[in-house]
Amino acid sequence: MPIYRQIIDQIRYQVVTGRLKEGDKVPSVRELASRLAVNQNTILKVYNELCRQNVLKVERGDGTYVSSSKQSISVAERKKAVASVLREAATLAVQLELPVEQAGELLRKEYQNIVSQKAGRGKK
Amino acid sequence: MTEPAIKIEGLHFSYGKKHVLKGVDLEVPKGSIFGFLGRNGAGKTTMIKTLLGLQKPQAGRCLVGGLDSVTDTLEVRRRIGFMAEDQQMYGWMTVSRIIKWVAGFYPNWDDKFVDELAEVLSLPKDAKVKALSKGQNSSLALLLALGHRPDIVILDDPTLGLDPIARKDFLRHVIDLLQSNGVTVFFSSHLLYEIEPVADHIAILNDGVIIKACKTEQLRESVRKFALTPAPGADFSQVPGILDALKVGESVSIAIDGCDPAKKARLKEMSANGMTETALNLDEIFEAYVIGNRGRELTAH
Amino acid sequence: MRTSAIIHQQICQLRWHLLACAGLIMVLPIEEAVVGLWEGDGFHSIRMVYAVITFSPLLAGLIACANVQGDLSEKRYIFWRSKPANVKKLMALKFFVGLTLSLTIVACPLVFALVSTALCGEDLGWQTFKHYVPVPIVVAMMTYSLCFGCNVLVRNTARSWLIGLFLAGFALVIPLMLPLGFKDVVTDIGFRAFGFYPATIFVTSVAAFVFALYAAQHDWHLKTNLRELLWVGTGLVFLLLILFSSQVANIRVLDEKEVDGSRWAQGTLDKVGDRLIFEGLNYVDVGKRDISLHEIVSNGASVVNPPLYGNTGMNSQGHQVIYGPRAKGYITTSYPRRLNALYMDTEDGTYHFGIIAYFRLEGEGSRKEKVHEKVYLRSYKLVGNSWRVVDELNISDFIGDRVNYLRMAMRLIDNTLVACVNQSYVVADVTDPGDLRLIDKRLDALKGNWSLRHMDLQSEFDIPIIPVEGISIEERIKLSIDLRYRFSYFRNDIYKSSMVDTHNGKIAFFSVSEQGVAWFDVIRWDQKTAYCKFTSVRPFTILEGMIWAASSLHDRTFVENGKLYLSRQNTLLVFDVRVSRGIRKLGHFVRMDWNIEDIAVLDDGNMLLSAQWLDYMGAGHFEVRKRYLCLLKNPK
Repeated sequence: MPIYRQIIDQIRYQVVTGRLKEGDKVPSVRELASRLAVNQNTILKVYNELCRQNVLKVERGDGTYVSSSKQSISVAERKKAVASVLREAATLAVQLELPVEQAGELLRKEYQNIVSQKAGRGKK
Repeated sequence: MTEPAIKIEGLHFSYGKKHVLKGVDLEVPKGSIFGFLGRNGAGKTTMIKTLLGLQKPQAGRCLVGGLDSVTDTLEVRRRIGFMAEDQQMYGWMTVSRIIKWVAGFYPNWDDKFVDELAEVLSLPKDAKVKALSKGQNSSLALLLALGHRPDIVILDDPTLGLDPIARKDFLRHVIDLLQSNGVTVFFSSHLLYEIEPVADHIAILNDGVIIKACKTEQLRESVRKFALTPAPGADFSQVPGILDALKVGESVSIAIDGCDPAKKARLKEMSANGMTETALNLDEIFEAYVIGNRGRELTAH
Repeated sequence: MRTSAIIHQQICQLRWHLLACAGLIMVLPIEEAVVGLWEGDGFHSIRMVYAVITFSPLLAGLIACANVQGDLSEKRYIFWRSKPANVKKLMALKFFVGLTLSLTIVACPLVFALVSTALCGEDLGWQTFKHYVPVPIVVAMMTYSLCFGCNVLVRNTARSWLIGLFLAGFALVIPLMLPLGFKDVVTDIGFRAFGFYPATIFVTSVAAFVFALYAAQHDWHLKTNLRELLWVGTGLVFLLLILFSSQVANIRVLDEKEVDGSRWAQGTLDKVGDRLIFEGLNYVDVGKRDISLHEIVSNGASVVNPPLYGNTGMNSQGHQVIYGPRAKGYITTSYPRRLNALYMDTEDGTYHFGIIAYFRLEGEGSRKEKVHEKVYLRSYKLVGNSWRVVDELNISDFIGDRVNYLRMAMRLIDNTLVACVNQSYVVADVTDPGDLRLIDKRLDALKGNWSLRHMDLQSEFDIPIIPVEGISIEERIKLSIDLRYRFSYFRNDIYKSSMVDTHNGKIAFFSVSEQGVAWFDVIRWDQKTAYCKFTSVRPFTILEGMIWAASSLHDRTFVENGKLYLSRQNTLLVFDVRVSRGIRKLGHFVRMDWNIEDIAVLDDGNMLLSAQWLDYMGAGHFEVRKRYLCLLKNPK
C-alpha cells in the first residue's frame, strides 16, 4: 500500500477511535513529515485528501483541525477499507486451498479475540 | 515547467573496456527529493562521480543547475553539497577543525548556519572525527555538505551501514533541513523501502541504463502481478511491459509494468480460465525491475 | 581555498612522520656530540652530520610519500575532491608544504652542526661543508618530487617510497648508461660532464611535480601489488645491466693470457713484416681464438735486452746489464718509450731507431726535477742478442728552454725519418740505417702549436705544411697535422699510428678530448697550406666521458680500415668512421684494474691488446706485477 494511503488510514483510524477529537489541531505538514520521516508532499497530499473527505479542515493561516467525528465515514467506505485488507487474506486462502467456510471461521475468531481483549483492557 | 536542477543526457562512461554507464538520461526537477535506486555496482556511484565532474564521460553530459559538470567543474561543485557513500574524513581532526578546513573551500560558507546545524545534529564540536559514532559521522558529513547552503544536494547511499534508528534520524534530517528549505535532493540508495517515504521521484538504474523513472506513488500503482493459466497459443510477447514471468507448473505468474485496463484485457484473453491480480510489495517491485527476465522464459517456448 | 587551513592540515597529517624523521636524522649527531662531551671534547658534531645528510634523500622521500597519502585513500579522496578545490593548486600547496617540512628536517642536523661547533669554538671546516652539503639536499629534493609523484599514482606509502627511491637512483645512474647522452641530444660539446646532473635533477624534479598534479587532477591510479612490483623492478634492473654492459663491455674477449710482468719491458705490440712482436722479445702467434708466444731467437740466443736505457747487453754471469752514461750520474729516457717501435728490416739486418735523452735530477728530497741535458737520435742494429748503437745524431740543441719535460715524436716514411723534440725537428735519410744522413734540421719550426679543441675552432681553418723534402705531400700533411696539434695536446707521443686517415681520397683526421671525438676533413691543399674543416662530433656519453677524464695516462688513437680505435688507461673504444659524415660507436671494453699499453689490429680483424696490471706499493708508487695479452673480437 502506498505510504500516503497508510497515513490516511492511520489518521482516519485515530479519528474513528476517538483519539483525535473534533476541533483538535493536527501537526503541520512540516512537523508530521519530519516526525514520520516522510516527504512533505506526501503529507500535503494526505491532508488534502482528508480535507476532501471532510475528515480535516484548514483554518486559514492557523493550521489544520479535525473537522468531524467518526460518523463522517460512511458504512460503505468502512466496508471498502475492510474489504481491501481482506482481499489479501482471501488470495492467500485461495492459494492455500482453504475452504471458504474455514476462512470465514478464522475471521470470526480473530474478530472475537480483539473484541474480548478490548473489553478486558477496558475493565482494567 | 522550470529548468530541472539536474539534467543528464546520453551519459556514457566506461573504465577501460568495462562499460558502466550506457546512455543514461535523467531529469531531476527543482526542489524535489529524487530517489536514485540501483543495486550495488549498478553504476550509481560512477554516475554521481561523473555528475560531480570527477571523471569525464565518454559521451553525453551532465548539467547541474544549468552548468556543465565537465567544463564548469568548480562552479558545479560550489553549488552542490555532496556526501559520499561511506564517507571517510580526516580522523585526527576535531569536528570544529574539519569544519574550518572544509569552509576554506567555499567563499559563501555560512558559519552561523553551520553552528545551528551542529546544534540540530547534536555534534560534539571538540570530539575527534575518528571518535564519532557511525550516525554522528554521517551527520557530520551532511553538515559539511550543507555548510555553504547549496541548492542541490547529492547524497550517495548516505545511510549505508547505519542502524535503523540512525537511518530514520538521517532521513528526518533530510526532510527537515533540506526539503523544508526547498533544496533539491538527489538521493541514491539500494533500498527501495528506505527511499519510498522520502522521495518524490524515483529512478532505477540497472546495468548502466535507467530502467524506470516515475513519481514515487506511481511506482506501486503501475506494477501488478497476475496469476493465470495460459490458453493454448497465447503469445505473451505481444503484451508490452512484462517485467518478470515465472512458470509454475501449468500456471504463469506475470509482473507487468504500467498496468492499464487494455493490458489487463489482453492478458485475460490469453488466460484459459480467468486470472487473479495482486499488488507487489516494494522489494518485489524492485526485484521485478532489476532482475526480472522480461518474459524471456515464456517466449522461449 | 584557505591556505592556512591546508598548511595546518599538512603539518598535523605529517606530525608523526616528521617526529620520526627528525629523531632518525638527529640521533647520530647528538650521540656523537654526547660522546664528545663525555670525552671532554665538547658538545659538537660534524662527522655524523655528513653521514646523516647523505641519507636525507631517503627521509625526504618518506615524507613525500606520507604527505598526501592521507588524502588519497579512496574514500577520503572523494571527500575532498567533491569540494570545489582546485586540485592542482591544492596539490601544489601540499607539495611545497611537504617540501618545506622535509627541508626543515634536513636542516636540523646542519643547524646543529653550525651552532654546536660555533659554541664550542670548533672548526666546522666550512669549505667541505659548503661543497658537500648542497649535493644530498638537491638529491633529496629530487627524491621528494619523485616519491610525491609515485605516491599520487600508487597511493601506498611503502610501495611508492620504494618506487620513488628506485626512480631517483635510476635518474642518477641512467645518464651514465644511455648510449644517447644528453650531449648527444644537444650536440653541445662544451657542456661539462657534471653539468648534466643539475639538469637531470632539475628536469626530473619538475617533471615529477607536474606529473603529480596531473595525476591528481585526472585521478590516475596505478594499482600495484608487491609481487608485480618485484617483477617490474627485477626487469628494470636487468635492463640497466644490459644497458650497462652494452656501454662498458660489449667487446667479446676471445682469449686472455697472463704474462710475467716483472720483466723489464713495456707491453708493446709491433708489426715487423707479417709478424707481431710483443715487448720486442716475443713473436705472438694468434689463432682464431687463442694466443701463443714464441721467443725471438737471433743467432741462436733469445733477444733479452731492449735498449731502454742506453746500450744494454749481457755480462759474463749472463745477467742483463746496461751500458751507458748512467754510471756518470745520468738517467736516461728514450723515445719511443715503447720499445722497438720503429723497425726497419734491411738485407743486412734488423735496425731500430730511437731518441734517447739524458737528464740529471736536481733538487732536494722528493722535490727533485728532471733537467735534460743531451738528446740523441740513434739507430741500433740487432747484433747477436743485443741492440748496438750504429749511428747517432746529436740533437741536444732541441731541448731549448723546456728542460724538464720533452715531447718527442718520430715517423718513418719510406726511407725518411722525421724525429721531433719539442718544437724542433730533424729529417734524416735512413736508406742505410747504419749511416744517418741529415737532410734537414729546423729549430723551433713548430712554434705556435695549437691544440685542436674542436669547440674552439671555426668550422674552417688552415694548417701550414712543414717543408720536408723527399716525402709526398699527403704524408707531409699528415705529419704537419700530427706535429701541429697532437703534439701539444695531451701527452700524445706520436709514432706508429696517427689519427690522420685517408678517407675516400680525402684526408680525414680525428681528435679526442674529454668531451668526445671530433672529425675533421682536409678539404684542399697546396704546397704550403692544408685547408681543414670541422665536420662532425660524436660527444662522449657521460660514462665514456668520465672514464676518459678520470685517467691521466696517455692514450692511443689510430684509424685502421675505417675504424677509429681509442684507448686510454682501462678503456678501449671502437668507432665506425666509414659512415658518411658521422662517427658511430661500435664497442667498448673496460677492465677497471688494467692499464692498456698497446693495441694491434690483426689481419683477420680481431684485436690484440696488451695491458699491465699495476699493484699499489704505497706512497703513490705502483709496480707492474702482471701483464696480459687479450684477444678481442672486433665489433662490427
